Amino acid sequence: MDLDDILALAETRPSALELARARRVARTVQSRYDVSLAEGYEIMVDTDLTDPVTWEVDEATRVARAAQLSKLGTITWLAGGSARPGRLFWSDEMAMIFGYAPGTRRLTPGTLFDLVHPEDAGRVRTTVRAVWEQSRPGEVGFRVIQPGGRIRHIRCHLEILTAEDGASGIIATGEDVTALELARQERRRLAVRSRMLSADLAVPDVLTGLPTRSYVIDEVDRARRATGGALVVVATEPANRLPDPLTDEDRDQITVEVARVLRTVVGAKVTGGLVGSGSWGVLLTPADGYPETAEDLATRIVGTFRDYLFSVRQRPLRLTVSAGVVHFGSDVPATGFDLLIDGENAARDARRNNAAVMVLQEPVEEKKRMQRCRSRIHRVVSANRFALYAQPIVDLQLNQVTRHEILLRVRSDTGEPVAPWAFLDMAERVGEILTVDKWVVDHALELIGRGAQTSHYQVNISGRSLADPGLLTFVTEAIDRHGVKPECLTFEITETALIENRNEALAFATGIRKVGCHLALDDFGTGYSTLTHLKQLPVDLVKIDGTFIVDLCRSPASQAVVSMLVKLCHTLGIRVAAEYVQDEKTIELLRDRGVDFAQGYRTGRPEPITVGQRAAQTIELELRFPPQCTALG
Amino acid sequence: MSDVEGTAARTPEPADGEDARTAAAVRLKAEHDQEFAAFVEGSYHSVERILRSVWWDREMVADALHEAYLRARDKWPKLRDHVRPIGWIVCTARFQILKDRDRRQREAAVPPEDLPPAPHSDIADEWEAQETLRAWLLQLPARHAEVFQMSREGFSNREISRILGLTENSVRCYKAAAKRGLGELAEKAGFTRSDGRRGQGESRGSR
Repeated sequence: MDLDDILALAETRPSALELARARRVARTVQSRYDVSLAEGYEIMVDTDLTDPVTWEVDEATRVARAAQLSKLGTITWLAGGSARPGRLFWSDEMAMIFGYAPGTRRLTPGTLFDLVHPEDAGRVRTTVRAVWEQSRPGEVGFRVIQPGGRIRHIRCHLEILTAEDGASGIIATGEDVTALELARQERRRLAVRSRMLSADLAVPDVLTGLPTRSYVIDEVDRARRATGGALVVVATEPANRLPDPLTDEDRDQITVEVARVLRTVVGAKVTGGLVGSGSWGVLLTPADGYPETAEDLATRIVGTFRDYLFSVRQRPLRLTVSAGVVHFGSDVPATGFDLLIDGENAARDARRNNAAVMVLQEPVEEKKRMQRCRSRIHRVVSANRFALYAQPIVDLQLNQVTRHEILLRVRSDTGEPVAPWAFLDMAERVGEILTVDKWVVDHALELIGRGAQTSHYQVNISGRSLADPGLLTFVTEAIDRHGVKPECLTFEITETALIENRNEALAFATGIRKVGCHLALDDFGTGYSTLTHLKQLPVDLVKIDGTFIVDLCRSPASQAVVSMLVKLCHTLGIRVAAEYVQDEKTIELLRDRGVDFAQGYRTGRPEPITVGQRAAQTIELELRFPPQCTALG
Repeated sequence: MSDVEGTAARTPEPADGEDARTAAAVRLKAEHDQEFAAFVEGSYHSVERILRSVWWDREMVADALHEAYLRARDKWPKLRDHVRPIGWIVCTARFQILKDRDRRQREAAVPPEDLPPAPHSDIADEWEAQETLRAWLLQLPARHAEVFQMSREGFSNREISRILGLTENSVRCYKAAAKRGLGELAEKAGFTRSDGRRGQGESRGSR
């Protein structure tokens, strides 16, 4: 079947139904006409009664008249010849579209093009010339600048006028399409917006696909403001030691497995997320209508995990599991964060007492909780229950590792190093982060000073710590003490939202750069990291937050953010790094967009720091320092 | 035409001895009524198809046609002398719609998904062929579609240029452009263009 067949098939005599409809129209019209005759009112006819087919008049007049009847404006140009000069004129309607009173302006080609928006004039000229030279109709949209400076969108059809001796001129029929144009632009904008928008507020944890700590905290907070409920915190930890120590990858694999099991035990209907390394939060509210009590659920989760045999590199692994349950009413003063801390502490207590589940009927007193958090942090710091790891950072221009970020690991009670983010979150919230930061700076610089200092090292400092006026002195003294080359150091400010005292932060930033160190902003683009930091702080490097990088290949929105951030930073003289780089395609994209550094599992996982040439000598051995070396000492 | 006769019958009988001119007028009116009814019946679907090749909204087209025909009935004594009174109807109904500018702009601002659904690739009967063609015509520039549909309804280039208020050069070009555009749309929908006639067996084979 081809177009002609379709055209032939569509070409039919009107059907009986269609004829009936036509007859009905005829009858209605006839009766309305008769009524008008009988009642003596006149039917308004504003159209010419001349037969359009036999109206003998030149084309320009005819087209202009038709345009006028449909309220369109015309501009007519008649080519000059040897006998007569060329003429250019517009209809009253067109004059008004251009913003002039009819008959107040004489047109020449020059003055006409002066009225067109300068950005469009060239295109209009080309189109008109093409229409004339090829002798075929055309269409052109452009903007005009009205006398008051207002800009309107106009759309014109251009047609060739023909006289006896061939093409004699051009007539443009047009109208003001500003409203249409705006509607079209808005439609295009909305389409782009919906394509770019990632509506998913609960950005899941990259590894497990479960909600993150901050999401769980927000949900708990919502529940305690509304209905109350219960929070179950489950703590998991490897129970037996394998011949080789667990690598970062192994831990990730276990985490994924635990998440999968947890999801099947709990079900999809309730909020459950990863709230810390080896720490899982499940929120039950009356609204969920969950068939079990929180205690029963906690017991069941613990039971399931205790019976579950995980496998790491073909070796069996069991988990030590305990759970804490916190019940809270709808009016408790404790925040979502507080309740989570209570849950974590309850789980810890349960394990210490060799119980499966520990239940708190109500949140702990604020003072006690604070005290417990503080003493835990102090205990960890003074017992040096930390380890320092280093993750390689690749310079995308040179395609080689030129830097390392020094990362903190907290040792659990069994000595297992775990990712510190929950610990750091707690330290930041209870105002003890400075203690931790000082420990990290001191020990990191000591390790760096012992090494060959061939790389460039990036050390994290919380934005909150910057408020301490003694920090700069502490850092510079540590640099001197350990003999570290300051040009090999970059201090990354994390949690810029927590910068309390901008003057103090600026003083630290300026001071640290005077010493010769570099300054970086971590996790840029999330939280409350503002662009003013880029303007006011002497930043050398910006690390784009991982949420923009993990979905970079799939999300045009992330690509747009990264591209523009790179452009912005480079304009400001700042280099750009990307975290959470997980595959080769992302690296290609980042390089293509001009990102300077990439860091992530693709380029290298965090490894325990080795000092000097002996690869086996790790920080785990190095950390048994005399106590006076520690920050607290 | 019983309706027409009925209407004529309702007109009051001329008074005895009063002029026979009234009787003649009545007769003339009845004649015009009949003529007009035949004209509507013969032209309605044609005009409707022309207008609906540009405007999807059936009701709007029907309203405009109603008004145009009413005016035509009023001026029938004059219009009946036109070479093709249908041209006047197209003109009048078209201007009626075009003048209603706000409405037209709203219509054009409708997002594409509100336009008629894409036609099936399988065309079984006349009705489907017409709907397909109409959907394709609506995707063409309005002027192309109008010119094309009018030429299908049997108007010459000269007539089209006068009724639509275009130059004859434009009519020729638009007609060719419409044909080209339809060919492309047909090809996109999985049919073959009319030229070439290749691949016909394949597209038949799927049915």
